[in-house]
Amino acid sequence: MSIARDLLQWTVIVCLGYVVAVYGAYGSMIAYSMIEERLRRRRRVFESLDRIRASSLTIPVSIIAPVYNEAPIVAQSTRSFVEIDYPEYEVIVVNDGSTDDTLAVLEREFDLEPIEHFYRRRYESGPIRGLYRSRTHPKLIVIDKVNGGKADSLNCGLNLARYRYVCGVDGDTILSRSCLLNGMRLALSDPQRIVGVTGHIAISGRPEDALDENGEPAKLDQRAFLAFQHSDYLRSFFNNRLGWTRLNTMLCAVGAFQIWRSDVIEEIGGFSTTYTCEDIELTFRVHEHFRREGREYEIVSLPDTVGVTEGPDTLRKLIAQRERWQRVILETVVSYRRMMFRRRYGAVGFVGVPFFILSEVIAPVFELLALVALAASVAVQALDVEQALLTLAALALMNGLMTSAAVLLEDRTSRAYPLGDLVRLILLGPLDLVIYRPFIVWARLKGTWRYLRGDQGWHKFERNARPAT
Amino acid sequence: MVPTWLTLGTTVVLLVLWLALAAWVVGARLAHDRLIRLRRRDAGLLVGGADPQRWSRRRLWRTADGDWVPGTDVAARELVSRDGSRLRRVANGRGDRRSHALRVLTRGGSPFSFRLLRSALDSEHAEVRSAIVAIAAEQQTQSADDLLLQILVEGSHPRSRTATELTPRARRLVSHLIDLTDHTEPEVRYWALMLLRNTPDKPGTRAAAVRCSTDPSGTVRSAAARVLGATHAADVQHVLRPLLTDEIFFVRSHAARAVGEIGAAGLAGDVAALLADTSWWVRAAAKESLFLLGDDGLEAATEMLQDEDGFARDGAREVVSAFRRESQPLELVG
Repeated sequence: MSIARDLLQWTVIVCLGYVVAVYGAYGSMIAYSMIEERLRRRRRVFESLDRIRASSLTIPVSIIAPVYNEAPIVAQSTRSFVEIDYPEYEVIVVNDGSTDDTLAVLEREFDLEPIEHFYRRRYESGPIRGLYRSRTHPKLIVIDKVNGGKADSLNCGLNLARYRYVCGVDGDTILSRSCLLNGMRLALSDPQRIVGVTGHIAISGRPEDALDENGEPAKLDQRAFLAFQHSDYLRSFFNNRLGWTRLNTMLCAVGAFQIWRSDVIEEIGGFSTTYTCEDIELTFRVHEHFRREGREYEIVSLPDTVGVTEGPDTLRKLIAQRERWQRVILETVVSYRRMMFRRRYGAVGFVGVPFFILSEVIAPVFELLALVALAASVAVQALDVEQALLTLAALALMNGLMTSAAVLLEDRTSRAYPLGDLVRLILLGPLDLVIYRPFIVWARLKGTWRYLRGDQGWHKFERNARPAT
Repeated sequence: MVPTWLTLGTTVVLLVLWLALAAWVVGARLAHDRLIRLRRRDAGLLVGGADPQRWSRRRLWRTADGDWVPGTDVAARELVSRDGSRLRRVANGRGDRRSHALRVLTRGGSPFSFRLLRSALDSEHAEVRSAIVAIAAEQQTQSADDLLLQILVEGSHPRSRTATELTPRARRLVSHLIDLTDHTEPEVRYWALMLLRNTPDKPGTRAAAVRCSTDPSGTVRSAAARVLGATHAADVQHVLRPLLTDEIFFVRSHAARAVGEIGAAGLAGDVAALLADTSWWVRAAAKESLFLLGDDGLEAATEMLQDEDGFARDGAREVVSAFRRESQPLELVG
């Protein structure tokens, strides 16, 4: 009995140590994020997007949007792509062998006509069945290809992309009208050095309804389930990615909005089809490549909300999505573990990768361990119920603090959402631990298990239901 | 294991911190919304003829130092006349307030403002230099033009961004830009030419581009080709011809596009030959150019349909098919 109690005691101590380490890491990253946000805000106060918009010197961009079975939203998302406010860009929508009406919707909504177009096969990709150009929106090209996955579709789009920068987006994402102006504003300031840009993506059950009349995100989904996901995204973008940008260790450009210099993508051989998901792996690869060669570069995260993506509106879909993310993180971090604590990889090796391991890779194990240890401690009366509840309350408030910090950073940048929505997010912060987090822990454990079993499937969930029109 | 007082104490501290942060978020937002509301109201009052002399410094500052709206300059002028020396002190100082003071001084028409902006260019902080460019770009004056050109030449701010701010004023800066095409630094010559693309009709632009078409720097030669394309002048064919066989691929690519833009039918064959170029960018430019050349482009592309090079044949087919597609609506109308 005494050995069991000792074991339990040590488990609790280890878990406490983990909690202190992980919240310490989060706290430090928030501090860096605040510095970065302040610097960006100070520059923005004086900048005018109007002058960038009016300039003939902006760098053109090719938007590549892979779509697979996105019929319910593809018309709205593609419309948001072709209505972006930017001097020169093209939109390449890649229909990745959808089995629903995706292509038919595109043909109907954008008046597509077949074209004969020869392109360079710089990257391997699945066979193309047809190429189309829109009669109503000349900047829109649609590729219809055999199913090969998202990375394969992005590579296919890259083969047709004409411009120096490419922007990979998700087919279920509604982009804000100013997303490229905001993104390329940074790239323009130093095109030699800035090789990648990403931005904050908001969450909504129906992203097509989340923008205001100016095409900017302004409405939060009022459902608590979606609000939890929104605050999760806020924390991930504003508390972490801005801090990573400050340290030049931005390790995950989000798939829903990732701008890359096309020569850099070409140099490293395009998107990898051997991983479950392409975005985080590509970001790691760019870091690895540039650091190994000792070249100057920067991958930055914008403090601006550049679009709204569809968040799962049921628990089953959410768990499917998050377990996939966990697998992707594990695949990538394990693949690039050689970067850790190697001087050649600088901040990426000493801060970025260890931060990922601490906060993502081993987190589900410790989260489960902590839960079991807490329950067992109460059961064997090593911990009384009051103390257990106080511990939970402290952890809940830590989560609340992190959510509030993210809301503060977001609001200082955009001032987009009504005050009531901000208060709601803040109040939901401490509840996250007991209502939302357990499902995420479960999803992460499931993802870890599936990773160990070698699962590399996408397990795409159905689109959220929409009222018939 | 852990004393209860420690857990309780930690929880209380975290609760207080959470409440404080929540109050910060709400307070900051309310203050921001109020500021915007008052700034709009005051700017409107000034446009409507309100007398700023009776306003407090705080109120004037609030109106003078935001996004530019009508009325901003009136508040800034009053602030400069009332508080000029203090503003100059702040503008010589450090930190965030420096940039804001510089903005108010410049908007208020202080005679010292551009001297202060110039001296602030030495700042080690990139955000101050970025602010200087933006402040100068707001002003449509000779001093602002000179300062922006100086920044472009010195490279104290990314030249791409400075050039972006200079774009709308390129027409009145033609003579300066032409002078800069002789600058010793290739990057300056390049940006001068890129800005001259906005003034293809101005005397001297074409001559500068012709001169730069033999520049030792490839980027400058490519910019020269782009300017020549923008001039739409048919008599520069002899200048573009050697650029079509330049050793650097992006020079060939821009030259090919320029041929299409000026409608140089005599060079259609040379452009068609580029359909077999080793660089994709050049082949793509050649296709666009042939399409722009109309019937001559179609004829040249048709000849390439039998070429032994696969790329050339494919490119030619694409051009011919684009012509066919383009002609369909006419057939329907007919």
